[in-house]
Amino acid sequence: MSEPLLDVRGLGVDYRGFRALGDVSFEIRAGETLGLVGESGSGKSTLARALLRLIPASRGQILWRGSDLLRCDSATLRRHRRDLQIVFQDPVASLNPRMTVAQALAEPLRVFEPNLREVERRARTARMLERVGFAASMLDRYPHELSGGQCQRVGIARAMMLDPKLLICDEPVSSLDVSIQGQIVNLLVDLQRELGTAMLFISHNLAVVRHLSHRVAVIHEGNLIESADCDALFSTPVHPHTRALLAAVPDPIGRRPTKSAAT
Amino acid sequence: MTVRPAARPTLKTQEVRVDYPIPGGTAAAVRGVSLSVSAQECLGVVGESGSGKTQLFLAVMGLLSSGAQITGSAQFEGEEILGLAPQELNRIRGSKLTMVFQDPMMSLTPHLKIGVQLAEVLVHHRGASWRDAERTALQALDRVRIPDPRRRLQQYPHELSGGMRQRVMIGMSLLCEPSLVIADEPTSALDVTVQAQILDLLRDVRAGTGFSIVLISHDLGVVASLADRVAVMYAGRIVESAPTAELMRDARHPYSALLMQCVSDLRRPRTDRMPFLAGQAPGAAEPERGCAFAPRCPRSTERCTHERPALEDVNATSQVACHYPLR
Amino acid sequence: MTGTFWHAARQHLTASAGARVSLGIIVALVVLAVIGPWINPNGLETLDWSSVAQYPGIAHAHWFGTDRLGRDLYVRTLEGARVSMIVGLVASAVSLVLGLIYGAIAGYVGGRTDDLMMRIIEILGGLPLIFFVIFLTVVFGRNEYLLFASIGAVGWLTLARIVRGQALSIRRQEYIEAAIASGAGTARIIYKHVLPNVIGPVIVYATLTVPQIILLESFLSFLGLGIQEPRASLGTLIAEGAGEMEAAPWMLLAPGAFLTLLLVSLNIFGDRLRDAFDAGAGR
Repeated sequence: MSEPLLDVRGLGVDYRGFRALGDVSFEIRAGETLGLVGESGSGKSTLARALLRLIPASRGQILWRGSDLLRCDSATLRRHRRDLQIVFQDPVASLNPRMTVAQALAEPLRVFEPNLREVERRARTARMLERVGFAASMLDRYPHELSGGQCQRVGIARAMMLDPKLLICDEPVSSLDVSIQGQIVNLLVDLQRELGTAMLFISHNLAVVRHLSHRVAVIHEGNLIESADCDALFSTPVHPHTRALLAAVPDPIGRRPTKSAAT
Repeated sequence: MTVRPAARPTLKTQEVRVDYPIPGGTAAAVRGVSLSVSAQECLGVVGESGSGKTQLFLAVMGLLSSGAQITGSAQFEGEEILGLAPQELNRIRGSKLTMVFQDPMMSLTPHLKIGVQLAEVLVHHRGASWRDAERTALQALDRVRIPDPRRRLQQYPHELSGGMRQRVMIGMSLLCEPSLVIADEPTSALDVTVQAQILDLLRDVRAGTGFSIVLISHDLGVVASLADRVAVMYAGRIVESAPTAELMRDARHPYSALLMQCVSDLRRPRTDRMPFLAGQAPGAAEPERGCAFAPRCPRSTERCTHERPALEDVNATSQVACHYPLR
Repeated sequence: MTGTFWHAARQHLTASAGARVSLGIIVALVVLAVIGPWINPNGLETLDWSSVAQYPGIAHAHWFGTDRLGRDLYVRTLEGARVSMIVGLVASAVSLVLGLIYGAIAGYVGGRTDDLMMRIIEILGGLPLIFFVIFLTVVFGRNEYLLFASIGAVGWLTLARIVRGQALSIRRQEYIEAAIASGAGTARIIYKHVLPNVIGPVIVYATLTVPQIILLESFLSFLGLGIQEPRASLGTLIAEGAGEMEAAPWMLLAPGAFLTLLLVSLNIFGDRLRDAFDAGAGR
């Protein structure tokens, strides 16, 4: 497959005179995961939202299967949204508090397949729920009755309802306890293996990014400063900022060498 | 051979419980915690959401709302501080016993200049004059390695970066030469590069002065880089406590061991599946039935579900609360 | 936070003595207004020549007394109460629906649409109501439907502003972004995601608009611009009573007391409701 699924060229976002995103260019191929690491304020969330036109972009092109998402009409954009989904950082806030899990999962179906019969819709919702590891009893629960990890699984289920080609994950595990992050990450990896979904995995957590990315890009102050195959980036980082990032991660098992004498 | 009498611990808690009334009963945020922090020691307190680690130390500092029901004892330098009147507590708080919080933007007053907020501490606790206080404040900023401190004194909190603000908070906590600094997730809101700088700073400052620190964090890496001893909390209780190196390499409690596994380490090769703990910790409103970790524990038996293991000494430096510890 | 919100709110409300008492009074007044006249043998418009301008008394079955024309005040007061309550309820409901839709669109869509919509509200809000009503009366004659129209023109304004504020804060929530990313159109988002989540605080304010509207109706009727003879509303009765204050004070007392009690109870209940909602939201 030579054509990239997503081809971003020179994407930039200016916000009140401030350059939130400079000129960012990258590609994502079908079925692959591009990890995007950066610190807070680096522009990674801005990038995610700009890709989906949740915020307006100031320049550049987002080429998706032939159309430039920034320049197409709203009907075409709506159609493409089917294949471009997102999972958010705050799992509870990303679910409508007045909707049950069943209703939340059914939303994408109601929007894109409004003629679906009730029976069929229920079946598909139940199937997706099972796939993310829930029993059917979950269907009638409200977000406030669920834990953060459970809400995130519902969010992933919702995003995957229409079998999107690209899933953008904006810090999906950052607000979850360390002991359950793995569950979410494994789920995403499984879904990718099963359905061939490409992913843009955005996180400041380097270890998690390393776990599921094929390629990794580093963003700093609104610009992509380095991008390479995952193993290459982590073993031989080139850009000084990347090196600083990797060196700064605290090592839980051994002590980091310190400048002053250890006590 | 003379046996030196054990020095009095800087902080010693005994069976501290924190309960909140809720419709239908009570919610127990902290279910009975006994620990001690020695002079010049850094104790790391590790726990996830619902473990009660923050509630415990907020109770010690007397910072919980009036709705909280606190029982047990907490002695700071030999003096009982739980239930102390606010005026009495204010003698100690901010001077000998200080706290650094997670989000410095929330704990610094937005409309007062940095210099004023720092000087205020000295004027209030030491009775210093404003001029002397400002001079000391300048020294404090120097100590926490803030460049161009004179200019910073005149700035407002929002003009400083997150890392800079946290340095100010640390500086503020050290102004009156405290015996104990409680740092509650001091680096969680910071980028990893800034976090490393703050941890280096804490390490260096401690080497110089020798106060005790309680470092509360959900991040094992942060705790490992600074703490001498670590206490692991789960569902409102301590489940294990041991010297840092020992805990990190050979944890005894199944929860501690599994937590170690879940921490992704860049220095180790990629694994196929990321380890995780299925299920979730019991909430504060749930009554205790046996060991709180039993439902998620791979080693649990019938006994674990109805008999709660007490926190017992394994040796002079370690304790564990488990019927079937890993070693 | 839905389940715990309603739960906590309901708890707070039932615990509040003020809420219970005021709600009790409101219910009692409503029941009285509905069934009350049946108990009394007198009709609404029956003229009892033998008891003109009589003191209230049990003996001649005029419990609240009679007016100048010998009509029983008990029946008339309760009839007037019924009319006032219906007007208050219907007008409030219309204001609610209008305000909700208008405010939700303005708040969610934002931008120039919002600016335009808010300008309209400000202009309408700036209109001096009385002149407006008088003008309409001159043009269309005295008409009860005019009353509804004028109240309706005013009642929805504040509600729309409140809804707009709520919609503005919701707009930034992630579940709205999720809905957009899922391809939902603006109409669907407003209907399924914005409206259900603004209802909470809006109900409280709607409850507080009911007494305001009843008062407004009474005021307009008092001025002779609303309900016409021989039908009565609390406002017209108060107007009559005010004119006879020295000679026959009971004519003012009955409707006046009823209106006051109703308004005070509604206001207290609305306040408690707002407290309960704040409690539910954890404030």
